[in-house]
Amino acid sequence: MLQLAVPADHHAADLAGTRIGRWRGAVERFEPFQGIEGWALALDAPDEGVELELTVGEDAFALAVTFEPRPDLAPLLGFEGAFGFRFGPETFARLARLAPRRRALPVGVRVSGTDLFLRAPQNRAPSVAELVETWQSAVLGALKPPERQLGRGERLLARLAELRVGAEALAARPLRPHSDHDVGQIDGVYPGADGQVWLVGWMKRGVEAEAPAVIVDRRKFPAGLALLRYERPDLPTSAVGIIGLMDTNWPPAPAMKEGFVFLGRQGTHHLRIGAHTRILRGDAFLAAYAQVQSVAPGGPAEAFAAILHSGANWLPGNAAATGLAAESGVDRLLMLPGFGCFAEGWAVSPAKRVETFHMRLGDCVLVAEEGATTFRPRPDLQPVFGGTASPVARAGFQAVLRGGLPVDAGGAPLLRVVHDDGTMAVSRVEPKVLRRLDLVGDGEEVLRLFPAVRLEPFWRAFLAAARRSLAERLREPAIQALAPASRMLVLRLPGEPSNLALLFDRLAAEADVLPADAGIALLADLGRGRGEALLRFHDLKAALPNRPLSLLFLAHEDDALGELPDILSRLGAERFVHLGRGLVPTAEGWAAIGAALARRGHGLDWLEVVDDLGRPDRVDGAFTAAAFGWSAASFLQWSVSAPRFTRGLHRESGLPLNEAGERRAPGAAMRVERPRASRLADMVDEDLLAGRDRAP
Amino acid sequence: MMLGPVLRPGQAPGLLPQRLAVVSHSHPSISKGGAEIAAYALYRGLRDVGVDAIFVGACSVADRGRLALGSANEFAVFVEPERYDHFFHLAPRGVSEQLVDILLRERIGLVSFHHFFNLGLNTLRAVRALPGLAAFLTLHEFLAICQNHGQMITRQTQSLCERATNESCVACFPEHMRSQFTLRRDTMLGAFGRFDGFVSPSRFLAERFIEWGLPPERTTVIENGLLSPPEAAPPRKGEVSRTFGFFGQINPFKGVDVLLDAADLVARDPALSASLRLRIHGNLVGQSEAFTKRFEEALKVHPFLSYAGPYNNASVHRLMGECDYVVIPSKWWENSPVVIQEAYSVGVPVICTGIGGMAEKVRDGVSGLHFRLGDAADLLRAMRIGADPRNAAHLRAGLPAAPNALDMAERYLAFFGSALAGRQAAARDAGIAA
Repeated sequence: MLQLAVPADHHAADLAGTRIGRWRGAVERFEPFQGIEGWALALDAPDEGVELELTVGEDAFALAVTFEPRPDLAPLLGFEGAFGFRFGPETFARLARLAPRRRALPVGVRVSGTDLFLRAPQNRAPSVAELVETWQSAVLGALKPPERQLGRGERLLARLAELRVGAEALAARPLRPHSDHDVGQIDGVYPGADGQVWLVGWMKRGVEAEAPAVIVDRRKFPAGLALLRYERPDLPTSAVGIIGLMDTNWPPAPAMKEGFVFLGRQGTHHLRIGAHTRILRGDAFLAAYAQVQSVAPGGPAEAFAAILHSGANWLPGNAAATGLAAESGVDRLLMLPGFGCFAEGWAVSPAKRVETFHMRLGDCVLVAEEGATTFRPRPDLQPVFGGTASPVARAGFQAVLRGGLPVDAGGAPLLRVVHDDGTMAVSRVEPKVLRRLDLVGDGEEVLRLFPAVRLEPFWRAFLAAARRSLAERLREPAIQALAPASRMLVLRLPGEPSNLALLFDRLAAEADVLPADAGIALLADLGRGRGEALLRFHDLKAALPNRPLSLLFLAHEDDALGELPDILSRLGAERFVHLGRGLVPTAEGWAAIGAALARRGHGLDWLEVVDDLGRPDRVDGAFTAAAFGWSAASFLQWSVSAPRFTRGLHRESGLPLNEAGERRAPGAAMRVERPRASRLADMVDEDLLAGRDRAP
Repeated sequence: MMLGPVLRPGQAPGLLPQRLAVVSHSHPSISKGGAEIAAYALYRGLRDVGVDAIFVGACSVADRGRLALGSANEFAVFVEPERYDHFFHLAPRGVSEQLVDILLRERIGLVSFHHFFNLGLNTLRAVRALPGLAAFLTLHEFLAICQNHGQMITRQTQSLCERATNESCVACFPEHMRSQFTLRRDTMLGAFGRFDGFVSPSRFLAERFIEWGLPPERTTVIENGLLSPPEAAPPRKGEVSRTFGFFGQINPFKGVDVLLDAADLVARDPALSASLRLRIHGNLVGQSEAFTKRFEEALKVHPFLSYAGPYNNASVHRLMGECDYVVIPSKWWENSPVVIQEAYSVGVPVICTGIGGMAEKVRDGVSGLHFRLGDAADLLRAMRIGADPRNAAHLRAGLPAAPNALDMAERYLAFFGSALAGRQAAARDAGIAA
């Protein structure tokens, strides 16, 4: 029998042989898209196929026979043969379907009828779980779109950046404009995105299209310059029109003085700039560019168009100017400073697939959160876009545009529609569409856009922004009358005139039960009840001439727990009772208020709010921050870390419940108004109260 | 509840103060509603029996030009309607200041309030708090109980409301909270609680208020007296046909639509339509276009139906005297409609809806006939019965005498006296116990 010189690398110790024969071989790879491959031969019968078992643990899982010629092994083995085997790629899918309890078992290849295993790569048999994970990663990776190639525009910008570097040396040299080297002039400039300046003008033929350049405008600015040339009938045949793009930090002045743009590595030629050079608005530049686009086809024009479409560009109408049909509109735009905007609108690009959205508000750029951007059909747009369904099949969009939007973000919003090929179309958004999000009033709109808003990935950030926004909302109340007292009933007046009348009537009738030196501070808002509050306050002063009475106006219509520390400080209160908006004390409640004000120390007094039948109010809560008494010092300390809420307070608002020394007054007040109903505000308040805006 | 209080000899002289004030929510020169007319009748009656009474009406500032105070004993307090709260019925402080000022200046010892509207419950409280002053309140409808203009009919379906509860009130007024109705009732009872006595012109109204929370021991029923009774009942005319007259505001609550339905039924019976006349008197203002159209078409189609237009107090007795029956098809409870007394005063029986104050004042088969609420066919049945001359004679014979202002004043004085005597006795007992 032929003795084979088998290299030691290709056999394992356990392949030494058995009583029924000797084998050699190895598992070479576990490849998700190829299968499990290797080679094997029976030394005693090298021309015969070797039957192999793929094993999971000790169990045979699949069978195969060597079949594939492996000439690559000939140098090692000394002869050729069909030693290769393969368990097909479907094997991985079968492995993935195995029960979880078998995931940890090793996968190997065994010579059938023996207990001899082929050596695995790195001498380690992979487990089922490892192979399945490898396979899943490979499949998922294959499903992803291929990496996008650099576009023409990006390549042009890269070249301009290189040319600008090259122009640094030119800028260091003395540059003098010789009239013989005057090759044209710049009629208009448009300062584009950061570091980009667009030129419109004319020049003599024969000057290179891409070159380093130096702008001399009071001082020197190095630049990389690319030119798009086109025929202009109004020019002599020796000249052409140009649209140019410069990569530079030159800031064109609103009123140009005489200057030059020196071109080429030696700076030999120059273009003139001067009083005739106008600063173009975006639409004027795009109008000029649109004329050129139609007469200057080809690579350079496409590169310029790509730059106009690029992410750095916020030129409204850029798509139309470059021949791309893309239109969009925003129907609803609700902004929350520090978070971004909720947006609803439409975008139609018949030739491209809309991928995502960007928005610019002033200097702030917002980016749509991909996981929360949804598309839907907009059949109402069908007549406008050719009457066919496909362009509008996903024209409607709802998105959360995220970014560090400052409170004072201004300017007309711009929407940038981003296509799957990276091109972008910018359009203006009607300024009146943009609204500051009212967490209470606009809640239903937000929930219509995002019904599961609380489960969305942006919720925590939204909460954090809401917390900041609520904290910033605090304003000092306007003082109408201030009468300090160390004991103070602070009463947030209701909004409805009837309820206002009732509360003032009760105050006039029941104030006698309060300690003689206790003051009453009334908090009104600037709504429709303002005038009536003033009149009735005047009446109350007449009815209670010896009582310190204060009237303050709030800038909002909600409760004022957030403003309370400042108010108490102004009033000089040491002990106080706070009654929130829409509460009217009962007869028992007036007595409880009197007792709470007369109390010494820093214990909390809770005043129970009851319903019309005298039972605890289970809608907005019986013991809440709407009705309590405390010492001003304790309250101030608590306020340092207290959250703010959309409607001023939310249930107990984080006040310490069940503290030692607290007292509870049953049946103390009834509600004649409830906080404004808002599902979104309820969610925000509940999560702010639970501290869910902070990282876990 | 005290019924028919009688002033026992020797009670009144030492108890009743020298000067009394009748305070109403309006003045007859501004508005001629039943309550202010009744209040004015009391004032006139008191003066007629020799009591030094004054009359104070609460009037809108805008009505100053129309106000005609009949004598030096008549006064007005002025109200800013825009600032009056129509839910809790609270007036600006100025109203109570004006009234208190008048009462103190005129050295009034007893106030008889007629209604609290315009005055405000806070004004009632302020007056009641004046030392040494006795205060009584006459209830004229259900405004304290029912926010729907005090009519105890549901706001949406216009059906009768049997009992005001927070549930039923919120069903009528979903814009309000249940607790607001609780507080409304508390505010009402809080203002009423210290009054010395309450007067209701009907037992029906009194029972509703007692069920609502008014103290029965301080409540009585005194019929309103007519301010201007006829000199004598006009003689009956010997006409063959029967005339059925409607007198009052022509609005949906008064049931004129039921009368029009009945007219359609009458028209189907040529013999009946030839033998009766339906005559409608009253002000047709502010009605829906559909109702006005129907009303005008009915007048054209039915020759036995006529519209006699608005009337005034001076002519009401003459106009009623021309009728064989006064028809009151009201679709709400009514309290003590003055129309009934006016009809009685001229010897005319009444055919009315058999509910509430109407059913109490018109005894079925004695002084008039009842028919089912909103049932035109049943109204027609009653009219057929009434058209029989024998029945008409029987009903005319059963008519009670209508009280006049003098009668009313004497009964009020009796109630004031007995209530104050009771209060004095209670105070004496309390002093002994102490």
